[in-house]
Amino acid sequence: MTLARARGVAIGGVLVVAWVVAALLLSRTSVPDDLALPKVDVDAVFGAELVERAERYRRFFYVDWVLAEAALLVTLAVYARRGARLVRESAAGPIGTGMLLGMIGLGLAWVVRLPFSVAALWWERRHGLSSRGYVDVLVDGWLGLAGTFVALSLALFVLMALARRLGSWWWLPGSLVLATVAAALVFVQPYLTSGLEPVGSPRVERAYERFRGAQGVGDVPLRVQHVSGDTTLANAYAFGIGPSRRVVLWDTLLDGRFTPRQVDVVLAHELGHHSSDHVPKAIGWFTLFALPGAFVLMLATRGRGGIGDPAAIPLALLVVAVLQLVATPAQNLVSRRMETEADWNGLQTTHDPTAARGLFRELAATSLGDPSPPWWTQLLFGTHPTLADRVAMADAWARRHAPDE
Amino acid sequence: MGSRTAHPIAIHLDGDLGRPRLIVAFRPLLVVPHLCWLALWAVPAAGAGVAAWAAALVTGRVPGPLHGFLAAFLREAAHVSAFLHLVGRPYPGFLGREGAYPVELAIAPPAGQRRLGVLARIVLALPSLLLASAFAIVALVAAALGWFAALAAGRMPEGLRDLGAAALRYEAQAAGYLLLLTARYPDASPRLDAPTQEDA
Repeated sequence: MTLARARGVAIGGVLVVAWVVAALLLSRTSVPDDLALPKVDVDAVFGAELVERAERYRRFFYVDWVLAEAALLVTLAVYARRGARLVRESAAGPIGTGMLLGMIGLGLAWVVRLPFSVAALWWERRHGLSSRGYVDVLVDGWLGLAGTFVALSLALFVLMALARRLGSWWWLPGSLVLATVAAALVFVQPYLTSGLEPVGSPRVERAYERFRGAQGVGDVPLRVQHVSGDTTLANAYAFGIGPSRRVVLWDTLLDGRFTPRQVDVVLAHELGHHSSDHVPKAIGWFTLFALPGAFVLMLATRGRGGIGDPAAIPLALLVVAVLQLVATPAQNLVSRRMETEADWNGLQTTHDPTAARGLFRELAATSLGDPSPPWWTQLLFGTHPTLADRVAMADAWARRHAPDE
Repeated sequence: MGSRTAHPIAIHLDGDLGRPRLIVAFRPLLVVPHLCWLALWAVPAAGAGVAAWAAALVTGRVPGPLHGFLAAFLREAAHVSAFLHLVGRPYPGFLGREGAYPVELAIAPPAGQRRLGVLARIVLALPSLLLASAFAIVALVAAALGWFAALAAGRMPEGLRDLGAAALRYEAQAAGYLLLLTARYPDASPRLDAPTQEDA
């Protein structure tokens, strides 16, 4: 074994051990290890008719997604073979040319997926869950693409510059720089999100302050986002880090379909994300996924001169798309674990499993969510536990605390 | 009419009218990183413009380094604009280097300027800037028509390309006049070839 190879193996070993330790630390959760979820009779809890309707509704998205992914991968595969010839259409030097090829690839990906996005919108409109116009989707998608192009160009600038300077070791600092950029974006995102307004409901604000104190979360403002002009779906989210942390409710949650106690469960759940530091942990997970991802990217593009060569960028896009697809089940697993912990935090705060059960039933009805989808769809799309599992957790919490209640 | 020398800020075109459809289709979005970069660059460029003004008031000439910095900024803006308006074919770079783009904005080296003209430069430039904004609309219309034509034929119609180039040249000359890169007022002539000594 040569010295360089031995050094590589040693560094690799240290990285693998560090990766595993970090993953274990990030996986820690406040959900009791011995919590056994009771079996939920889905038809009885949600109603057989709703379950059947939700299954039919969701099936369309599964097919639409599979077709869209297939079209995307085929397009990127063709682009990986033929895209390098676009190098001659640039006077921007190697890095600028890499940016051009990257943007063209992403633009093609957007165009190819557009019909499937339009089909999904048609399906949502047909079921009364969306009132967005088709032109709005086109214009928003086009404008969103501009932002994506800037982010991609920035990422390619960093990675290509590192690769041209460091050779095949670029992936190590590269993934760390990308994680830093991601953290910066997560930090500024709440300040860039427009249309967030104070809730204006004293009852909701009082409950929020109570839960905030109970969970020991610092100064995190509550905001409402007006989406009822576009959709009837109900949602809420927690985002930002440090001083930029926010909890946001869609106004569709406050339109009277959900009881005040059910809204309380949502508030406590979202605060639960902040009290368990899920956003910083998500950045940590991003870093953990980025490290092996960048390593594979380095290996895959080596045959085309490495990622520092603009001719390798079309292939790099294909590799990233495949890596994303492969990593999706693991990413969803992480996300489900965090959502489960936020549910648990919510129950520990509200002590109201009945409201939680009601909330999940109402969410199934208002979003046509399949309470108990096929396992493979959970792998690919399940960022949250199934609604049946969330009801089961409420039941489990109730059982565990029965003597104290 | 007396003889005239070529304007110190001139635009030179190549003969390539081919425009690959794929790059035409996404062209308005492809320049977004450049626009962000130019927005960042505009901050020191504005400072350099003020410094150039102060220096020219004192010495009657813009110092070489300031002139070079402002010329690179103007060239970069011209390259990006040429790409966006389908006047140029390839994707432009980010540094505004001389000779780096087939639609070249040639900017003469610094020359002496009358102090009175320097003092009143902003006021004097206003009419040309108004006209430049009208030219910008002309360039936009030519680009919009050319976008459809190039998307269909993979080629930019020469007339639209030249119209766009003439508009961009005026805009560059107006900006160059404001930034003290030249003391010569912009040339509103629609012809692309620079007037020579023989023009009379």
